[in-house]
Amino acid sequence: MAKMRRVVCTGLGAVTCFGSGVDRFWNGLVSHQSGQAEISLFDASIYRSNLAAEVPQQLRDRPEVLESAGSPKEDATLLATLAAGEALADAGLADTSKTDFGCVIGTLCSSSRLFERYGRQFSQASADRSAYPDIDACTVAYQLEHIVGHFGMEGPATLVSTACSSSTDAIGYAADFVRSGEAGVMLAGGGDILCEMVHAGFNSVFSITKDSSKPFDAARSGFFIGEGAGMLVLEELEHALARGAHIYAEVLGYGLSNTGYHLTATSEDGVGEALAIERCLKDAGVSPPDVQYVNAHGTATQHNDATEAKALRHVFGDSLDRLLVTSIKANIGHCMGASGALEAIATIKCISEGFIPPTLNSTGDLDAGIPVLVGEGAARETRYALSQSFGFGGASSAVLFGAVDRAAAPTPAAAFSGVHAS
Amino acid sequence: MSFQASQRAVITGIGAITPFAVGWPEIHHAISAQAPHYAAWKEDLEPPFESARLGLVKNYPREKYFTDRQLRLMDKAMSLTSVAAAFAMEDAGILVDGAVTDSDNVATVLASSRGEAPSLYRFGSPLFRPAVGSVNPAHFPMIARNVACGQIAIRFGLRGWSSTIAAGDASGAHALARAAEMITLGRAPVVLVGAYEVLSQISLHQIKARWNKNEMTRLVADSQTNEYVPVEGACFFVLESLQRALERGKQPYATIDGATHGYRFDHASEGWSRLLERHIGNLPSGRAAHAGKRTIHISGASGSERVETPLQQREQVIATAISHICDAPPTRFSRLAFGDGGALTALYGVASAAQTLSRRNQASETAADAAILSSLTERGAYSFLSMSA
Repeated sequence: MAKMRRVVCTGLGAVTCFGSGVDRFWNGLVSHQSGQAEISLFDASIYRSNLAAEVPQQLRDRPEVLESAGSPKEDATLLATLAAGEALADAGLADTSKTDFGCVIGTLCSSSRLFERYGRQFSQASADRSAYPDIDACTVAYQLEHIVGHFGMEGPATLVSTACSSSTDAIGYAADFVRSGEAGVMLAGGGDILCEMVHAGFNSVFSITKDSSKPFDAARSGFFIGEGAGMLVLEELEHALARGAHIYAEVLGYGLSNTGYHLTATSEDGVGEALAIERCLKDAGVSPPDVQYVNAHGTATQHNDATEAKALRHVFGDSLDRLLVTSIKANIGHCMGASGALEAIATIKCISEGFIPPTLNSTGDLDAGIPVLVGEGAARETRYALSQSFGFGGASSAVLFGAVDRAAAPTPAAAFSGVHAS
Repeated sequence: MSFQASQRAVITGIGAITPFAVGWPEIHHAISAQAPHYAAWKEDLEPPFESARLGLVKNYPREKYFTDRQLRLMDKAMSLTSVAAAFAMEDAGILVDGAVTDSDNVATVLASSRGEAPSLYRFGSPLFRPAVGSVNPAHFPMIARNVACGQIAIRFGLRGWSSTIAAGDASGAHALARAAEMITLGRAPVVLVGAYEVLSQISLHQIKARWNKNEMTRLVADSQTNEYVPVEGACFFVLESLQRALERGKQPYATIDGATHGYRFDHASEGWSRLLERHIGNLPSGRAAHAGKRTIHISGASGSERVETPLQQREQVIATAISHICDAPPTRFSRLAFGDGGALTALYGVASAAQTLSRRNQASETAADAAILSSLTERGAYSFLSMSA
């Protein structure tokens, strides 16, 4: 088998309830902020809970913001495009019109608000074509198509939709394109939005908290939905070194699984979820005892957190106590398909900043007993850090990031040939 | 991806359900006999043009794999995909007496372009028409595009790598490429990969809206020339490594040698030729994969087959480029036979190619050693896939 190229992250972009920008996102985490608030986008008073974490309205309202993103017709696409623009600028990659510059998007709810509008018109048998939203923007693939068109990418481009594990899957798949040499540089991540259908759905299965999100706490009562987007620029190590790019972290490997257990619930024993983590570590060639930090899915539902603890115990065994585990969903909400990308960014920042923000609102005292970091957070040099996501349909995904070991870089003879124009 | 790793991915099982036949051998026979007939457009929805037809799947053996109670908890996407997946696994010989060999490591990759719309609308209907009542939590999971994949995993105990692609009509080609990569990288010994589409009133309304909006409609002044038939169905493949297939005595249909995909809108032949050269250059045997061999070109593109559109122009440019690289390959369109299957279209092309390649030793006009499949969509996506006997 041909030697795989090493993949590093050289650019980050984020939009969250704290506003646009990775700095706002990270500052929100380290200063223990939460974007939890009453929903303003629709009348949520009829639901068991009316809590969510919306992105600031001015992001959608400012014409110059919309224009800078190519005036997308759909909000999740706007958030994803803003995050992509920040990530590319952060990486110092202005010219994206290259045949081996591509992207993998991961999203669940993109275009869902437009689908609702479409559905309302259709249910009323409206014959007024102008009352319906643009048909192309009503499909999930619109996010991919807009980003590809806006940045002029001609490399591999696709979209994965594995519910709440979508963008973790997307990061791993994008890394594959770089590892194999099919692409020189890839954008990976996605954007998601709050819509009434999904809020109503999670309310109907009692997953939305009525007070606050408390991941891994015995008194946990669920999550609130967040809006946001996260994007990573991934490129081959030698290419990044050659152009003097700032390297945040290395993408060491990823893993996927299906629990084959239930359409909505995580498994009872955590084994199906653990398979994704084990495959990720195997892909990376890293042993469980070497991992120091896990950014957990941590939805704060009774079932997820208990299963996730079992999965971590299954994988890490006796070395579990060396880990620190956190969830950021009490800060920014559960951003659905985009949650994995935002949690990956948080994970990478933990490595690059040498600091791990705490799990908000939690005592970490759930029965299964895993080392949940609470309180003020912890300064820690982290060499290997895991980010994991689980979703409906049994989808499970995990990606391992590491501090870059330049000494272990391949020889120049094996170096990447560079991004080239078509 | 260029599949140059140690494992070669081969197709050992095909399972499909179409509006006109159930099971790949039956479908292949029906296509060969030019038998497909489609229904008139639904009466309560005005068709996009007078001659439009519709392909709905009515009967397929759901009861063989699920109880009545289980079926009541599923949407059509879940049952349709599960049955087609079972056909593929039975064809490959890995589903025996209801159990799948090494199921913990069998990967699943699913694709759909528009398949979630019916269940999205059903779940959201109480919000769209408040008099209907509150949302039904039992319908909630079906709004996720990967739930049909999850149902297959649950039914057959498959816990390998798993993903769902939703990149529009290009999804089927992307899913097959990703599945083949899972084999070549050694991530899974077996991958079950497929696509599905289902139709409902809102799907058809959206298809019509897309038809009314897109550039082809304006060019289709004469609707009598049209062959546009939206269809539902499912098509699955079992992929495994060549070594594994041979070890268990299974003769593969074909090998998947490489795939390339991306977005490109222009008609300049130089750009497309360069992309094709690059695609072929990345194959394990490079140009030798096609040079001097009987190569067929199977093309699947969105929309009508018989009208001159920008998409068709791109398709013609690609066909010409392929004919220059390979030895005068004939072009065959799968769309005329199978209808507009969204993500399915590319996979029907793969199934047709696999069928042809598997008969390579027979003295037949359709015999071939290699195949190039090209897929284009109205939204600018392209895919190239190379297969060989």
